[in-house]
Amino acid sequence: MPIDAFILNAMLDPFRNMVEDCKKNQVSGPDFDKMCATLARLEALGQEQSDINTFNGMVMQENLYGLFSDYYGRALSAQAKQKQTEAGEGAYDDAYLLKQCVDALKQAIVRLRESYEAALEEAKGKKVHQQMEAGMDYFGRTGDQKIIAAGGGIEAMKKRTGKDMDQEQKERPNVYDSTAEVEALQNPEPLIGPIQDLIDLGEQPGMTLPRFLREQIERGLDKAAEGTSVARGAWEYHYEIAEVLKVSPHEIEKHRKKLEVFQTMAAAAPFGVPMAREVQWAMDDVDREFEPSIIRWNKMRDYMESLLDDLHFWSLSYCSFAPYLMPWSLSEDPVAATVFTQNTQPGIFREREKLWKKYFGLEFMDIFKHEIFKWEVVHSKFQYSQQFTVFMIEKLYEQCRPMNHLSRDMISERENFFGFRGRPDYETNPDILIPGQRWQEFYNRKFGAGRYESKYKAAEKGNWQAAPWNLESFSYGK
Amino acid sequence: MSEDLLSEYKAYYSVRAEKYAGNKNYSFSYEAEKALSNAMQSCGKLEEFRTAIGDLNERCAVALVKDEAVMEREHFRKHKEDVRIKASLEILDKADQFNEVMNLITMVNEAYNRNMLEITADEAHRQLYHDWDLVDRIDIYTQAVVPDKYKKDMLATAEHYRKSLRQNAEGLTKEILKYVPEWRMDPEKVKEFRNRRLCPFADHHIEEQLRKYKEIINA
Repeated sequence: MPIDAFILNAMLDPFRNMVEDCKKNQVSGPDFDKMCATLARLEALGQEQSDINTFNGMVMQENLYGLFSDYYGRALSAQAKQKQTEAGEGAYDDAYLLKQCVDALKQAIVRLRESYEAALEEAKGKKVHQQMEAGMDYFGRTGDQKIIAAGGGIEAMKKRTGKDMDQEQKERPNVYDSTAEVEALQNPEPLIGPIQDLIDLGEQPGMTLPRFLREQIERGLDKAAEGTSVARGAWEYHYEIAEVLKVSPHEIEKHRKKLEVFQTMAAAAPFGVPMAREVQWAMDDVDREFEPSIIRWNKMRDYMESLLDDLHFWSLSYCSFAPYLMPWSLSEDPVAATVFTQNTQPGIFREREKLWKKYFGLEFMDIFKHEIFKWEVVHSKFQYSQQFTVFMIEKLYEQCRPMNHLSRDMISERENFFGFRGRPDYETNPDILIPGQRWQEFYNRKFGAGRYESKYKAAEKGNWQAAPWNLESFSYGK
Repeated sequence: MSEDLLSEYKAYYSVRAEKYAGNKNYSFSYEAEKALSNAMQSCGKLEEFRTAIGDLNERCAVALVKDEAVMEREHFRKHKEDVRIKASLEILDKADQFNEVMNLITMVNEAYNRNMLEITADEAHRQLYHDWDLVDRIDIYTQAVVPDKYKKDMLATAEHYRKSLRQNAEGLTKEILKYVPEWRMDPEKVKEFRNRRLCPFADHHIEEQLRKYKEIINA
């Protein structure tokens, strides 16, 4: 069975379009023939293979994309040489060659603007229903038929999803529109400016080809047109995002350093534009410098969260309403599932605690003195309230041991933390929405006031009644 | 007019060479562009350049490819990327044989395509680092102290994770073979610098985890 057209077309359409463009521009010759033969081989593999990875593997082993690109370049080059030969001595005419250069630059601007307009058109989201249905049809052909049957069949699923999408669009008009984002992030004018400068230079009265070529070097216009000058904006953007997300101090420092490195290289470079390759390796140096500390930070944070989640989960399983909560409610016998958790989670918790000690040389209580914990609290990323954290430390930690169970009093105390069916919730950090708000503010700064709210659903605030964190008063952090 | 054009071309080629002056990362390019410029400077008439240029323009393309390959080689040498370095080594080995730009480009693209497959094959050996937590979970569920009546379920969960590990290794091998025939997982490669740097645990922990992993997946 062939690769599904939904997938295959997305992969091969760019190559098909390049062949059609060549035909339109009357490109021909042995290299064009080989280009078409390579596309034919891609098409044949797409029909012979049913597995996308097998298809990709064969494409890579035969280097089909590379060959296609190679033949394409040769075909265009052959056509250019042919035109030169036909032009005869005229091809060496300075004015003719200069005009060719300038025309190529004008074409580059046209293509940049056309791509941008196409991206904007796509971003309007006018085809989202069509795209959703194509995706659903693909799922219908290739997905788990039991799941599809349980969903009432693909047509029913399409109808429901379509209705949901319409409802979403009523509530948030820009939910499927990304034009503001494309305008902010993909506007080609900063790239076009330097190219236009080159065109203006080339069209100056009395300009000759060698003078055009010399002056663009002397004025740095050739480097500016490479686009490296707009890369600074990308590094600034990533640094800004790192500051907003506050994943870790290492992530922020990495992006800050990348921007600093770029600025240093730009300052030292002629015309303030560093060589693209040198920038590439300098940035890779920075990535590698910070990678170990970022990986370690993330791993330790995961372990900390796991240990505290174990205590949260185990103690919750004792609550009278636990059988109504996931994951227990998904079980055939929710009550038995809660009893299973009560009896097994302490053993699991203590084994995880041993791993925490084994890998990082730390005890349970060291979590609360650690810079990772403090970072998570200060930046409102830590999910539990101070009140619940103290309860975990002072009451649950000691009790969570194999063959031991929570007392009735402690269960009652635990139940009061959980906001079951609208009751006050004292276990959730009341500031947990702050990171999302930081992102929302950043988003609106970047893409326009109110933009975030017009696209995305606001996070719902629960009935969170715990006091906000005050690390000064948290004695376990000292 | 012709004389004006000649001096303008001489000025252009001179500036073109100076673009790389003083940049140690582009020393081949500087020498090649200088040779091209000298050829132009030697011309008394513009038409003489058609002969004087010879293959000097192609040599500039080769020089640029070599300069960039040297930067890449030195970068990967510094970071002990023993597999990623192969593309630049191959390019540097072959570049001087080429005097036709399209063929040079073809050679470079083929070298990078081959290297992409080598990198894919190499990085697949890192699977232990992706499945590290699964290995730990086997120990957690095997060793956790629980009442006797739950022991069987806990061991069943441990066995489920063991099976997942084996399935992950088998699935990975099946997929990689589609790109690299005769590939076989060698978990020991996780200790090589380019892979080891991605693991936050101590060497002796890696040794221990590796032993357990190899036993489970029969490597």
